[in-house]
Amino acid sequence: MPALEMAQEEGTLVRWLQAEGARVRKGEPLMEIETDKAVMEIEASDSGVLANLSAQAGQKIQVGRVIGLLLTEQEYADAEGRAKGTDNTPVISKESAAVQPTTSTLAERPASSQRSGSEPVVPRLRPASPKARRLAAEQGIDISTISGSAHERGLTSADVAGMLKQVPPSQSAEEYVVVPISKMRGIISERLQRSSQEAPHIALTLSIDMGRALQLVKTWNQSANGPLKINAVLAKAVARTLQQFPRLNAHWVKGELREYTPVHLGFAVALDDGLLVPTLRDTHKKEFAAIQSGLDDLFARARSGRLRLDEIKGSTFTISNLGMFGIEQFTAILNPPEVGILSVGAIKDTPAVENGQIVSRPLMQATVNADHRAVDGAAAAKFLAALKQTLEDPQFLSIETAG
Amino acid sequence: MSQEIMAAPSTTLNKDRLLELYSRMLTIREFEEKAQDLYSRTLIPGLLHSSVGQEAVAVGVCAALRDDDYIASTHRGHGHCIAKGADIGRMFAELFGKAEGYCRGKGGSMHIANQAVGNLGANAIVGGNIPIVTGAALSAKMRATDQVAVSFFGDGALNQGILLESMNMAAIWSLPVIYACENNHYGEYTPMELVTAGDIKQRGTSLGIASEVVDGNDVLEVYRATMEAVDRGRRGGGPTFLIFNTYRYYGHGMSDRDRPYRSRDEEKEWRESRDPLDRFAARLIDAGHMTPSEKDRIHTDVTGLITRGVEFGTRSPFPDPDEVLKHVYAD
Amino acid sequence: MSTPTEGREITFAQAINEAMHEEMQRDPSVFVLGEDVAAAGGVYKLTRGLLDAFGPERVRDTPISEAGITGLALGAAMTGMRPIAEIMFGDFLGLVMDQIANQAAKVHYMSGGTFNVPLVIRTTMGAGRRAAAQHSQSLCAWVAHIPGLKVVLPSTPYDAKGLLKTAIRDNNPVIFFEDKMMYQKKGFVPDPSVEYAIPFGKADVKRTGTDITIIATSSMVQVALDAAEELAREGIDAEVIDPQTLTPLDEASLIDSVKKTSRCIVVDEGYQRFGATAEIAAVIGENAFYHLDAPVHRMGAMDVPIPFSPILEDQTIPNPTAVIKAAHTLVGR
Repeated sequence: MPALEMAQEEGTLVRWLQAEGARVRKGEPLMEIETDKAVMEIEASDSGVLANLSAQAGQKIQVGRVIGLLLTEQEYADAEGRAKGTDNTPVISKESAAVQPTTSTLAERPASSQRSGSEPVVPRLRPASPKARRLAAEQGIDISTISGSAHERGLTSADVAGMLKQVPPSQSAEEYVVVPISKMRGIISERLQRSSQEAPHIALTLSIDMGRALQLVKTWNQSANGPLKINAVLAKAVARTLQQFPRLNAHWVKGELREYTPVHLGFAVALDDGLLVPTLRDTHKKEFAAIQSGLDDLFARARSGRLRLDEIKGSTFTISNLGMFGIEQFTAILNPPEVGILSVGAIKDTPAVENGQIVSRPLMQATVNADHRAVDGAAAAKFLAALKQTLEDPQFLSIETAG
Repeated sequence: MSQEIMAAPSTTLNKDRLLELYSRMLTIREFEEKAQDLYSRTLIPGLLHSSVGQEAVAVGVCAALRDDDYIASTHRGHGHCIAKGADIGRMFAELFGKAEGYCRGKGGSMHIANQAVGNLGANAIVGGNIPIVTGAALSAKMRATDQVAVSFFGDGALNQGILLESMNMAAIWSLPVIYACENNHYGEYTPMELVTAGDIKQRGTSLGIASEVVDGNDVLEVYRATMEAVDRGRRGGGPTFLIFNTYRYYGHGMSDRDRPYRSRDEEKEWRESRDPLDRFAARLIDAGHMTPSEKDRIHTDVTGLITRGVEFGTRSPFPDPDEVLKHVYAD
Repeated sequence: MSTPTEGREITFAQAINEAMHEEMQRDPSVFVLGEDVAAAGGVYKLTRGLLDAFGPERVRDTPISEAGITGLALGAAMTGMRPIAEIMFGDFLGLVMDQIANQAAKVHYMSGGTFNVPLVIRTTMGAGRRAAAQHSQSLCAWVAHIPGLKVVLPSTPYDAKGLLKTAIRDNNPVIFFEDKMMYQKKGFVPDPSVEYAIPFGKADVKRTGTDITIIATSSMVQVALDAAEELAREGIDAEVIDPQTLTPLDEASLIDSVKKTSRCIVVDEGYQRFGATAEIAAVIGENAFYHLDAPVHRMGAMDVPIPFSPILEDQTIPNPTAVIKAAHTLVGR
């Protein structure tokens, strides 16, 4: 099980893309692995014959455990030959293979495997016993969310019972249900709590008149340029503004402030129960069409859980938009290690004074939240003001792009 | 001549009983012919082994027995069952796999049993009934009845080891058992002499068992020899080994049609000059025990009996499917 | 009814002898036949004293003709007697199989229920006497495979007596397996004045426990109990349950026990491959799967002809150490 990200402890095998015994070439996809955040294809690191696939689809596996071997033709032939020489199914010793994954050490099952004193053969990679699965299902617990099994062979009913015991006994248990905490929720909770505790947040809000931006979208959509939504305009404007204020396009990592030249915008996407921040890399270089199609693709795959790992990593600044829920203004918590996040509410027709007249204008409340360790209030204010200016006179965005 | 032929049995068999022997033999023959016909028309499933040609053995032996004496039969056993008193309708019902068959449709042609008249059942393992019948004789002896028990088996069973085991025990314990070997000269598809060593009779005499080779196509000879064996058994004189020479007109089973292992001439010789029914009918008529019109009446009666039997079997319902689980164990 | 824990102690062999004696006294149709059963009292002295009490008709020495003995017993059983046939070694079932499997097992069914077969075949099983490959096998699975037979495996003197009495009174062919190594083992059995019989098809919980179920038959019951005692010292509470009869099999009790403990070892002295352990494990797997925290583990005799040399023979049969080890693996501690 390859490690795909920092601090990853385990991954779930979604499925094998190659069968046992398949001849694979370097770079060919071998399997799909799901981490806490994404599903990604793992490619063959070398050419060879795939052998001893020991993990099942859906299994959660510790990083570093050998789940299959890539053998040379010669090694594979040796293994096959030995397999035919015995009436027991040969298995490649997991221990030895784990120590030296590049060489195939074969260990025939002991001929005396049926001897009376033999140990029961317990599949080491079995993730949960039938009883554990049944109890979990009865309690409405997703078995994959239970961790901390005492035994490497998998979860038992005792693990499920242990988890149930952790829930404090309630005097009126009927009044609420204990919602199992998904892995994703656990991570969100941990990260945002840390963000909130570690980063001194400052928040600034102003109203942006989105009238001309909406007009731009309307005009664009009437042309042959293809569909455009206000999110893409917002992204373009934020990317452009961040290039002017790189202090907000930065990471704060262990006391080190890293300002980025490219703008990789993260977009907070709400899931049924959870949150993902897919990243549109190099937003600053992209035209409206590319931004729009990029966002559509990312959002769709975020909701179906098919994002690749590199698509949820490396954002330099995040936009969170709750406008679709009618929220007018809110303050998002920083997505560490980023130092800035923009929270935008709904665009709402609002009375405004224009040339002494009260008129209705489509206003949007935009709040920038910054990590005060890296960004001072004035810098954040200047960024926000520049963004407002860009969005309120957005023609050059399209001109620029068109040019 | 007729007086001489009838000499011994005529003292115990009156005219009615003689006609009854003929009628029984004819019933067996007609039953077998009808069964083969029904089998060919796919009304009887499974396996079927005809005993046509061997009727005198079944009838002659069983005529010497009481209802409470035991027999057990073979895969070629319809004749023994009929001779021991089975109802033709229930026989056909069993062959059809019907609920009113002797085994409620669970046994079929090769396993007909009839406790009411001491038929311990036909057995489809060659030689399979030999120790069972010997055990029944042991039981009779232990219960101090004067029952005897007859094991029918073919020449094929002579070479099963269980025969020696059983005969030995019957001899050492003087059991009232009669080993009735129907030597029809073919063990399935193989001539008996190709696979059987020595003098068969000595297999009995060497154990001290009274043994005799008998013309199995002469019902009165069969009867006479059996009566002697029965007397011996009832008197506590121990077992008897009787070898009845006879002939199987048809093949081993329904699929054995061309019979390449024997000649048509041989078959013709047995059928035309040694047929047990023809011979007995001629002798009865010669001796004045049966008139041609009586013979005709017997034939008419038997035909009616067979027809009614087929009707009964046909009308009988198939077993309830739930029956499959019944009688695996006794209560 | 559970095994008494005090009173008169007699051996397994004496218990069997008592059962036969009492049943022969009760029912004149009961008789014993077999090799060396009369004057010699049987090679293991199981029939000692019966000849004097009941005479040579009812205690009958036979020739060495296992198939014949069994076939005769069957014929007698079909005609009003209740024979107890002794087949000196279970290995000789090979000689007897047609009479048991094709004849005795099928008579009642084939005859549409008209003939009963109240026949008991007593025979032995078990390795450990250095008797080598043809006198050491435990072939219960052979007969348990055949519908129409009942298969009994007593594990204590008390059970042996109670189950044999039931076998003698049963109207079906019963194959009664006695472990040779247990004949001299003692146990509490009520005074002969106390009449009891143990019904077939009722598993007996020999030890209650909560952590793991050890289903064990015959000689393996004591192996399981010894293992359970050691496991208890380690904090693992094993339940030991004895099916007592393979046919009929008290599936419900076995399943219930495993549902309670969620782990199961099945121990039987027959060959492991296609053996009684396999059947019972399948019953558990099919019926208690969603109650299992570990795979059901089978422990039978090693799949080799039982060897003569003690150093070889002793490996072939499950022992408490092996059971303990298996329990550790299944329980995970």
